[in-house]
Amino acid sequence: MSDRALQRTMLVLTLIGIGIAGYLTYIHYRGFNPICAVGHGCERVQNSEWAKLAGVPVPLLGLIGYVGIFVSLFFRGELARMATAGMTILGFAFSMYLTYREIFTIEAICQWCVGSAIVMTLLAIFATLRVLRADDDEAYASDLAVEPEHEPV
Amino acid sequence: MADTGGTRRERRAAARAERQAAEKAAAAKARQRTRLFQLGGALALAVAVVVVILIATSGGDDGPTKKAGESVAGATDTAALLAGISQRGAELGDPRAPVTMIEFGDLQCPYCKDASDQILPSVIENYVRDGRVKLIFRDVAFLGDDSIRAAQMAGAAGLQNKLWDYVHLFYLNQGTENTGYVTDDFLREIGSGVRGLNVDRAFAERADPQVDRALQDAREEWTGYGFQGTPSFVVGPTGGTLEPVSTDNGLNYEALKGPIDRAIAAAQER
Repeated sequence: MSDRALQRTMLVLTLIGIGIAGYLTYIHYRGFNPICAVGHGCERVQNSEWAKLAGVPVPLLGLIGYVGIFVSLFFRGELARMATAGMTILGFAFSMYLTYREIFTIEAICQWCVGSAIVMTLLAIFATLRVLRADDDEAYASDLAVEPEHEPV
Repeated sequence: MADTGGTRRERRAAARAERQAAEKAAAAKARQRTRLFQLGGALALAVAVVVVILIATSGGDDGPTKKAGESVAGATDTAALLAGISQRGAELGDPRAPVTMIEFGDLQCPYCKDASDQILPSVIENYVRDGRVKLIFRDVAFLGDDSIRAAQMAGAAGLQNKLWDYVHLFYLNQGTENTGYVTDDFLREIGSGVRGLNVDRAFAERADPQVDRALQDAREEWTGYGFQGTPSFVVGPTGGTLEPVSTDNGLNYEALKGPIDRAIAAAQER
């Protein structure tokens, strides 16, 4: 998969993440319960004490994170790639923490949260790949091509 | 001569290309090492952040903790919540309250625990304590054997007018569904946390026909309203027709408050 394809895939995944986090943030502030395919898992998770971190709703944190990742994908260069990777790795670790809380503490599963965790995991994998394969990137390769040659004396 | 020079030039070009390729490879390797180091750093930082969050937010996940002098965690809170409110069997509050609200629950149901821990205390404080609403707990015990054992003990506590204490304290100490945790020892332990409850008597009266009949009646009434899950609520004028409370937008205090306020207003107009 080329860097461009990776970037486009990540943009689509980030939009899905923004959709999920945006929906959960919206219903949080409107006082609704999420549409849940199975049982009352989402309702239980969203109403639990773990649904906020330091008073900030977890969906809002997710939304901020996804928007940050989305914006970083429009920048070029090694620093931008590393910033994307850093945010997605942090997001992945936080998703794992939330999944742990769901399974072992709240003992309920919210499909929206699982969906977001999958999206964030894929984003972390793709962002890491982009960083590690930076030299394969055409733009980067062209930068290397213009390095001045020098003759041995 | 030309051949020799050309060969020399070619050899020099080849050597240069080889050297450049080696330098390029070494530089790429160094860059890759730096990137791996940075990614590792990002991962370590992320793990550190999560560990801090985990430590900062832990403590509330192991159920209630015993306060000084408590034989059962939450016993003081239960006693404080229900202090001064009359109980009769499964009823909590003034028997002549203009409005009646029935909760259909199961002591193993985690959502019922949420309702008991987080929602009903506000209902009790705001509506039951001042005599406007009477609460009735109907145990439908449909989730498994642990539910039935728990319901029989709660029903027996009701024969001593301590059902609401037992139910509230049970929910505070609720375990994982259908794991067989509702043993005789567990039931006795919860009972020991209910002030004024004769645990031995309650233990003996678990098989009382009144207790068994109450469970059967609760299930019939529950299915009669068309409910399939717990907790479910009905509210209305005492002695009149009680209407199911909609929880389509989730069960929270507001979901109960609206129907209760309407029922109180309707009762005042009568």
